[in-house]
Amino acid sequence: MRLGCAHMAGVEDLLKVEPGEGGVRLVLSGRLDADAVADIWNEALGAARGKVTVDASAVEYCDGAGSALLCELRRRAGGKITGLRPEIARVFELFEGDEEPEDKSRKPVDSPLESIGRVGAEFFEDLRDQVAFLGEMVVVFATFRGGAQRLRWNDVWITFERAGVQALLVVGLISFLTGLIMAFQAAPPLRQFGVDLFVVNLVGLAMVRELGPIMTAIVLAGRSGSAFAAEIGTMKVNEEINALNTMGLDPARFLVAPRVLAGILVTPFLIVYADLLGVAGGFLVMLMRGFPTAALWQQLTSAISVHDVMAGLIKGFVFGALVAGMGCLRGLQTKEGASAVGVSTTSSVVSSIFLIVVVDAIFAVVYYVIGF
Amino acid sequence: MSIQIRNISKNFGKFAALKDVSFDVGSGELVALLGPSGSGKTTLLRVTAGLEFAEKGKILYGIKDVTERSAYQRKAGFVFQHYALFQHLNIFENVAFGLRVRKRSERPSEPQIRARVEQLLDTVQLREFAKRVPAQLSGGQRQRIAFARALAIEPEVLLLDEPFGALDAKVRKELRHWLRNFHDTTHLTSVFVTHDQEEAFEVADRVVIIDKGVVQQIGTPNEVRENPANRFVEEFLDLGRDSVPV
Repeated sequence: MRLGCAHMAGVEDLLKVEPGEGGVRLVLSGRLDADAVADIWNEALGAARGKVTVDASAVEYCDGAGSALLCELRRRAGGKITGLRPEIARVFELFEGDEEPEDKSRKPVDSPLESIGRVGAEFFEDLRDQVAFLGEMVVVFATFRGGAQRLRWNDVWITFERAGVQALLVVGLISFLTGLIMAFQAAPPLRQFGVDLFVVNLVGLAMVRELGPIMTAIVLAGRSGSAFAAEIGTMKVNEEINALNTMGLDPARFLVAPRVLAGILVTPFLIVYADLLGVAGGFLVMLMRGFPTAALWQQLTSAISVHDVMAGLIKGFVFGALVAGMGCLRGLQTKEGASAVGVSTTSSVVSSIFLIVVVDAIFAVVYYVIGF
Repeated sequence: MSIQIRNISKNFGKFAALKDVSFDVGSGELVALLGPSGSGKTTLLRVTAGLEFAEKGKILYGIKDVTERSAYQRKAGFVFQHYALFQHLNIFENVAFGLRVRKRSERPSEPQIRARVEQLLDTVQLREFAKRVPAQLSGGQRQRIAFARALAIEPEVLLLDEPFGALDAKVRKELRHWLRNFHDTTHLTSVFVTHDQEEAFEVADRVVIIDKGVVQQIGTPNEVRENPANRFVEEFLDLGRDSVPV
C-alpha cells in the first residue's frame, strides 16, 4: 500500500461529480494512471447515472487504465467525453471500438428451454415443408398433361429397376434371415407348451403384416431414398435444377414425380418377395426340427388370410411414397456447399425411418380399430 | 421483347437484398447489371428469371406480367456462372436437351434437332466436341456450350449471371468480344451481371449500377463515366480503374 499512499492525491483531486443538464457532469483531472483509476473507478461509475458528460480537459496523463475508465464511462452511460488533450485523445482512440466485441461476447447462451423451443420450431417448420411438398405432389399427379408436363415413364421404369430389381438381393437376404431368427427364438419356448407348430403362425403373421413391409421400407430408404437425395442434391448444388427450370421443365414433375411413382409401384412387389423369403426362413428352421412341409403349409394357410397380406401391401404403397418423397424433398432442400449433399442424404434416411415407424404405428391403431 | 422491372423488393430474412428496384430493358438491348459483390445484382437477375421471387413489385416480359410465374413458365434463356451443364450428357445432348423435352406437337423432328444443334455448336465454334462430356472441356468451352444450350430453346430474353466470372483474363476478353458480336447479329434482349466495370462498359449498350440493393445510376457507358450520379458511382468506377483485372 506504500506505493498507493505515496501517489495518493486524494479522490477529490482526481474526480469531481457535479450536477449537469439532466444528469451529472464528471470532472476528471490530474494523472489517470493505473493507481489513480483503481481509486476512483467505483465512484466514477457509481455516479454515472442518467445523462453523463465527462470533462477531461484537466487530465494531464492517461494510460491504458485511464482509457479503460473513459471507455467504460462512455459505454455505460452513453456519456460524452470532452476536452481531451490531443496527445491523450490519440491514446484513447486506440481503444475506441473495443466496446463492441465485448457486447457481442455477452450474447446469451441458449438456456435448455430455448434450445428445446428452437428444435421444436425447426421440427414444425420441417413438418410444414413436408405437408406443402405432399400438396405439391398431389397437384402434380392430379394435373398430368401432355408435353413438357407429361409423366416421363422412361424415368419411372429406370428408377423402378434400380430401386426394385437391384434391391432383390439385399431385401431377400434380410427377410430370409429375419424369418429364420424369429423361428429360432420362438421354437424353444413354444415347445415347452407343445405348440411348436405355432412358430409358423408367428413368423407368417409377423412377416406379412409388419416386418415384411418395414424391412423393405427401411432397405428402400437406405438404398434408394438416399440415392434420390444425393442425385437431386448434387443437381441442386450444380445449379442443374435451376438450369432445368429455365429450360421449361418443372423439377417437381420432371425429377420428383417419376421417382415417387416408381417408389409407390415397386414397394408392394418387394414386400411380397420379402414375405415369401421371410416365411421360407421360418420354414427352414421348422424343417430342420423335423416338421413335414405339408404340415407347415397347412398351418400357414390356416394362420394367414388374404386380409393380412393386403394389410401389408397397403402399407407398402404408403411407405414407398413416403421414402421416395422424403428422398426427393431432402434433395431439393439441399443448401450450398460441399457438405450439403451429405447432410441431405443422411437426413433423408433418418427422416424416412422415423416416419416409417410413426406411420406404421398409425396403421396398427387404424387396423385395430376397424378390425382389419 | 422488352423486360420491365417494376418496384422490386426482396428480403433474405432481415437483410434487404433489393429495395424498390425499377428499370426497363428495351427490346434488342444488351444491358449490364454492375455492382460490387453483395450488391443484389445476381438476386435481381434471378428474380427476373423466376428462380427467386420478390416480396413486392412486378416483372413484365413485353406486355406479359410474369411476376407470378415460375422459371419454367417464363422460359428465359439463362447462363449460369458455373455453367450448370448436365454432367451425364454429352455436349450434343446438353444442347439438344431443351428441344427433346418439348411436348410432341412442338418437338422438332430428329433431323431438325440435329441441324439446330450443329448450327448452335458452329456458332460457339465447338462442333468437333459434340461427343465429349462437359468434364472434358475447359472452362471457356463449357461456358460457350452453356450459351448454346440456353439459345437452343429459342428464348426471347437471355439472362447471364457473371458469364465470364470463372474464366481467366484472356479467355474472358475473347468471350466478351464474342458476346458483343453475337448480340449485334441476333439482337436478342439480354441482361448480364458483372462486377467488372471494364467488361460492362465494353459490352453493354446501357449499364445499371447497383449497390446495397438500390439502383445508383442507369445510363450508357459514356453517360455513366462522364456524369457519375453520386459519390458511390464515382468511387466504384475509380476503384475499378486502378485495380488489376483478376
